[in-house]
Amino acid sequence: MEAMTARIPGKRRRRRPPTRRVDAATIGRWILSFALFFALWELIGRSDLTVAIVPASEVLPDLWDELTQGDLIEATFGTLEIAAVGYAISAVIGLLVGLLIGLSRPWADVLDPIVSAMLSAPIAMFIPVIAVYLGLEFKAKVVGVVLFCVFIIIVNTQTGIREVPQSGIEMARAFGTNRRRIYTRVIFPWASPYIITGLRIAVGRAVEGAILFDLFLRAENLGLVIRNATGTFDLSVLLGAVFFITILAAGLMGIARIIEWRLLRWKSY
Amino acid sequence: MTARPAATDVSQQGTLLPKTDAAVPPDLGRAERRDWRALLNNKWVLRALFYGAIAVAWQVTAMVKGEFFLPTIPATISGFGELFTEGYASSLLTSVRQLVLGFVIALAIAIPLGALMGRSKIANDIFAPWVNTLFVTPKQTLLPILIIAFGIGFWYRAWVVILFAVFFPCINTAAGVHYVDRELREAARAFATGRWRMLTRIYLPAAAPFIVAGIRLGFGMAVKGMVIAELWILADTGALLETFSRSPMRLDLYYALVLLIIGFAVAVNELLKWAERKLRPAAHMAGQV
Repeated sequence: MEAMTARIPGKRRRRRPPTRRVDAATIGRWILSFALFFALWELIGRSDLTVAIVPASEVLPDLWDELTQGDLIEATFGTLEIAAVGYAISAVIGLLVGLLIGLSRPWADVLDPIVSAMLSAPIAMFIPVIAVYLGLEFKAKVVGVVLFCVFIIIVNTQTGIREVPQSGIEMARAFGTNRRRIYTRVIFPWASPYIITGLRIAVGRAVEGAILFDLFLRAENLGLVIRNATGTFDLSVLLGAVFFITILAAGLMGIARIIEWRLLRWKSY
Repeated sequence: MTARPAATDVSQQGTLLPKTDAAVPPDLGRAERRDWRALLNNKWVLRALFYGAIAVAWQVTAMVKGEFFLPTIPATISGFGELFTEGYASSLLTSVRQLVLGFVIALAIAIPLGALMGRSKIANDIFAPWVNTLFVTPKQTLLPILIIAFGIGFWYRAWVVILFAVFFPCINTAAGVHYVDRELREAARAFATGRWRMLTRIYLPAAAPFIVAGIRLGFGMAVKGMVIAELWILADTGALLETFSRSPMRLDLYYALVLLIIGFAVAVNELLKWAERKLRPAAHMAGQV
């Protein structure tokens, strides 16, 4: 019963990468854009526009020092540890709940209001009460990250299951497929793009959440780096940390995207 | 063939369009219950049961553990009133006022920029790295820098809101305009339509649902940004959230405030969703988030 997989049986498809809108001119403009960014950074830093911006020529060497001699790397691992644990827990909870909501109309009716309310709600406002119930340590931060990520995963999983076309299921049932097979051969392949996309988005959320709670609960790891730099008015380190964190986040989300792309390559659209 | 509940409709047959916004879970062919259990299919009954159970659990926990752990439900409800009578409402209003102002500025930046990016690949190539980088940056790390640059007055909060909120309206507007661009450009060009007419009669109306979706998502981000900004410097609503959970601990006020904030965010979200639906002639909104 191979009928419902996306592959066409008997026909070997050459794997084609998705067409991209990226060509040489585009890359050229990106390079220009980044060059412009660094140029502006340098100029604004040297000017009297605002005290807050220190030129790149000062920040980047300081950042390098921090990386090689300071504890920036260690701090990063600390924050990422919180993000990773929170992400793992959210993934498990999110997938299970998303599956439940996606497959069962009664549970969907009941839980939809909570899920969509929590999506619109600013999770940060729970920070004080998280501190009250769970303290300021690792446990509290992980729970915070879970709150940050889990609802996105739930919604995407739910949408993925909902988007499975009824006609596909009807066809499978017409062929007498048993229920377990309908799940594995029909629902799962159709739902997986959404689910994987949700998991990818949640990676970015997990990193952001970990940094948020490392700043607002007890300042530790990367949050401590930022707080210290703020306290000593060391703008160079502060800007360097922000720059570094941005690159880190971009890198992680890029990796997540690549993983997503590889996992979904079999989908022949 | 087992009887199907009325919700699973014939509209599924043959069309690739998923049903209207109440898309149903896949129908695996369970028999419909016609007995008293049919009552359990009614979603309001189910919700009443579930949330009723939660309310009971809440109340019992509150009574057992005391008010410094969880406020009782009557206490939370009276907390709402107290928020207004004790004058905390003015803090809320200040927050909302600054939020709206910052958000309007964010839109004034994001929507034209998005429209430009949608129309012109050159503009897209230039600005997209910036916009994407902004999205990727954990914006809470920017708070200290913004305080150093702008102090703790209005502009600090405005800039936080702008930085949080500008991404979605921009990207969605770009997508909306771009999508329209492909489809209608040829048709309009065939009729030699003037530029202004093309903008007002074709692009804007067709892109409108995308733009409103972007505004909706952007507003959610704006609220998040505002709460984070205020919590950092303990201003207005952020200050309230903090003080209600320190000594003297007034968790009843805290939860009332939290519910109020959620209510506010959800209300605006639903309002914008309604506007989006009205603007979009086709029945279905893809990917409701």
